[in-house]
Amino acid sequence: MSKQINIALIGNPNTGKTSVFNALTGLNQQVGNYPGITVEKKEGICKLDRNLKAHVIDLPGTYSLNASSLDENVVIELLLNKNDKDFPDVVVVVSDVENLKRNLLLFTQIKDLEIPTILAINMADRMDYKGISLDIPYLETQLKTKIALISTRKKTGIDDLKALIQNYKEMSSEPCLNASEIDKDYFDRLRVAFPNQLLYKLWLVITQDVNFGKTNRKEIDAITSFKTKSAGDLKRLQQKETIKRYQFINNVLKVGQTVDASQAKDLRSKLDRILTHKIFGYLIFFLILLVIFQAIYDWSSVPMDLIDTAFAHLSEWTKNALPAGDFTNLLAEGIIPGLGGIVIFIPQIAFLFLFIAILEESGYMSRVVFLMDKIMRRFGLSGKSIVPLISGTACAIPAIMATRNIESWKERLITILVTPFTTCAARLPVYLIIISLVIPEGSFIGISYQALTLMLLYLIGFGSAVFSAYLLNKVLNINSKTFFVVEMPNYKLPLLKNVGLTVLEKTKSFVVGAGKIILAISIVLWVLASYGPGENFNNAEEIVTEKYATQNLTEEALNKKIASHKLEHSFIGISGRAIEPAIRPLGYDWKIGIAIVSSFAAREVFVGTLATIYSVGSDDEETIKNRMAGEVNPILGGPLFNFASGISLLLFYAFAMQCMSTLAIVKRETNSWKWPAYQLVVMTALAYIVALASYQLLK
Amino acid sequence: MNPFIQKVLVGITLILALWFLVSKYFLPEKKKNNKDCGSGSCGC
Repeated sequence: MSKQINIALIGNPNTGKTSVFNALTGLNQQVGNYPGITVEKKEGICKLDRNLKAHVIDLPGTYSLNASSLDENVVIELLLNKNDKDFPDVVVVVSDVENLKRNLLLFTQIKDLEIPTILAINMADRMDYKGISLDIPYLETQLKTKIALISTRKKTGIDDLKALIQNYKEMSSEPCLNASEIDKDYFDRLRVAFPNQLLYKLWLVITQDVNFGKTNRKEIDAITSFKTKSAGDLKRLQQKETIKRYQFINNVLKVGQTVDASQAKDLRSKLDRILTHKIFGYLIFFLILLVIFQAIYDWSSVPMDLIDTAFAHLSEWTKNALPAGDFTNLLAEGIIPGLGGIVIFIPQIAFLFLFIAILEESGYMSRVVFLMDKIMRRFGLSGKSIVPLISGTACAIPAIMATRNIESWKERLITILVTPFTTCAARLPVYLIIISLVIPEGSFIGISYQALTLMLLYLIGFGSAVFSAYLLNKVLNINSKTFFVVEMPNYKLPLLKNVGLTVLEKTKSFVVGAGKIILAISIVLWVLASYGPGENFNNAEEIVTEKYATQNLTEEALNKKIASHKLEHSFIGISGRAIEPAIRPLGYDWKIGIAIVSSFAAREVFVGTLATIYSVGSDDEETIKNRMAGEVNPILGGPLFNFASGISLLLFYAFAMQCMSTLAIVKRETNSWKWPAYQLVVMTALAYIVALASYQLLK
Repeated sequence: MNPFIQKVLVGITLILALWFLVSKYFLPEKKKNNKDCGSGSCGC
C-alpha cells in the first residue's frame, strides 16, 4: 500500500496558488467546507511515485500569520494543530517572483513554526520580462529551504517541485531568523513558563485576536493569561517583529535578487491607465458586459435546442417503451421534464462562468474592484463589496461568505443584506425561458432585444443592490472603521486549464446541487398533480365526457380536457387555486403560483415545476418552451405568458428573496434571525409591489 | 408491470424525495469529525 503525506499550499493572494494546486492534482480534486465554518476547502491527491501519494490542501490566501479574517484564521489553526488530520508534513509556500519581498514575510513566519517548508517561486517565465534574476543557491542557504522555480503558465518546474516534496524529510525545519530577539526578556519568561512549547506558536496564540476553535481552550486560556504586557505593548512588539522580518528579507534579497529596470518591458501601467480611467474604465467594463450577454445568447442557442428536444424525445420514448402505469408516468411526466428543466441551462451557465473565470484569471477583476470603490463608497459599501456582488452572479451563498474579507462590520452587513439582489445563476433559467417567450427576436445595432433585456435585468439587480445599500447606510446606526486595500495582480493570459476547471467545477456544483432539489421537488409535484381528493378528480373522465358529449370532440381534444380537469382538481390544483386571488393581480394563474411557491426552495425550480405541471397528462412530444407558449389565460384568453405577465414575472424574480439556502447562510453569517427575516419581508414585498405595478401598467 | 407494483414504486420514490428535502432543509447539518488538540500535543 502506498504511503500518503499531507501538503499544505499556502501563499499570498494572487500568487497562482490555485494554479499550482491544479498542476499538482489535475482532476483529482474536490471542494468542500471547513467543518463548522463556511470557508471553502480545496483538496486533491497528487501521485508522487509508486509508493507515495500526497494529499494537497489549497489553503485560503493570506499575507501573513497575523489573521484579520476568518479565511486567514483557517491557515493559522491548521498550522498550530498537530493533531489535525490535515496537519501538513510539508508546507509549500507559493510566491510570486515579482512580489518576492512581500511574499517572504509569510514564508519566514511559517519557517518559525519549524515545519518543513518549500519555497515555490511562481511566474518564473516573467523574470526576463521584468529584468529579474535570482541567485537560487544563495537564497536557499539564507532562507534554510529548498526553492522550486516554477511557471504554471509555461508548465515548467512542477516536476522539480514534486521531487522536492518527495524528499521532504531532507528539508531543514530550522527557523531562518530568531524572532524572540524583539524582546529577549519577555520571550525568556515565556520560555520558562512553557518549557515544552514552541516559542513562536506561543507568540502567535498570545497576539492573535482570533478564536482558536479547533485548539484546546484550556491551554489557550493558560497562555492568554500570560499577559505581562498590555495589548498596546503586544501590538508594538508585533510591529517590531514585522520590521525585523523585513530587515532580514531586505538583506537576503539585496544579494539574492537583482532587478534591472532597463530590461523590463512593462505594459501593465499603460493598460492600468486605460482600464481604470474615470470614463474609459467604466465604458470598457460596460462593453465587456454587453459582449458577455450577447455571447451567452448567441453561442448557447444551438446546444439548448438540442437538449430540449432530446428530453422531449426521452420522455416520449419512456412512455412508449415502459409498461403503462403510474411509475412510468412519474418518469415520463415528472422526473424527465423536471431534469430537462435544469440540464437545458448548462450551456448558458457554462458560458457565464467561462467569462467570469477569464476576467478573474486575466487580472481584470481587481481593476474592476478598484474602479468601483469610488462609486461603492458613496453608497455605504466598500470596493471589496464588488467581489461578493459579482460572485453573486453565480450564487448568493458563496458571495455572502466572500464578505468575510470586508473589515468594517457595517459595510459587511450591508453587503450581506444587498447581495441577494444580484442576478444569480438560479435566476438565469427563469429569465431565459420568460424572455424567450415574451421578448421579440429582433435586434438593435446588432444586439438582440433578448440579450439587452437580460443585461437590463442584471443591471436592475445590481442597481437595486447599490440603492438598497445607500438606504441601509442611512438607516443602520452602526459605527465601524473603514479602509480599503486591494492588490492589483499582473495582467496575464488566462490559463486554459484553470478556466476549464473553474467552469467545470461551478457548472457541476450548480447542476448537481440544484439538480437533486429539482428532482425531489419534481417527484413531489408530480404526485400532487396526479392524485386528488373527491369525486371531481376520481370521476374526471365521466364528468368531462358527459360535459362535452354534444360537441363531437376528437379523442385527443377530449383527453386534453380530461387531463386539464384532473389537474385542476388534483391536490396541487386545489392549493394553487387557493393562492390564486393573491397572484391574479400580477397576471399569473394558479400554475405559475405553484411554481413560485415551490421555487422558494431554489429559484431554478420554477422552470422544472412548470415543466412538470404542464407535462402531467400530456402525450405530446413537446418542448418545455412550446408548452409554456401554448398556455392560455383562463380569464382573459390569449397567451398566459404575454408581454405584461412576462415582465411582471421577470421583475418579481429580480426582487424576490426566493431562496431558503441564502436565508440560512445569512442567519449563519450574521448570527441572528433578525436579518434574514428582514430580507425576506422587504424583498418579497418589494417584488410583489413592482410586479403588480408593471402588470397593471402594461396589460 | 402490475399497476399495484407501479403504485408501490411511486410511493417509495415519493418517500425518498420527501426524506431528501426534509433532511436538506429541516434537519441540522452533519459535522465531520475532526481530531481535537489534546494535552499539549498541538504544541500550543
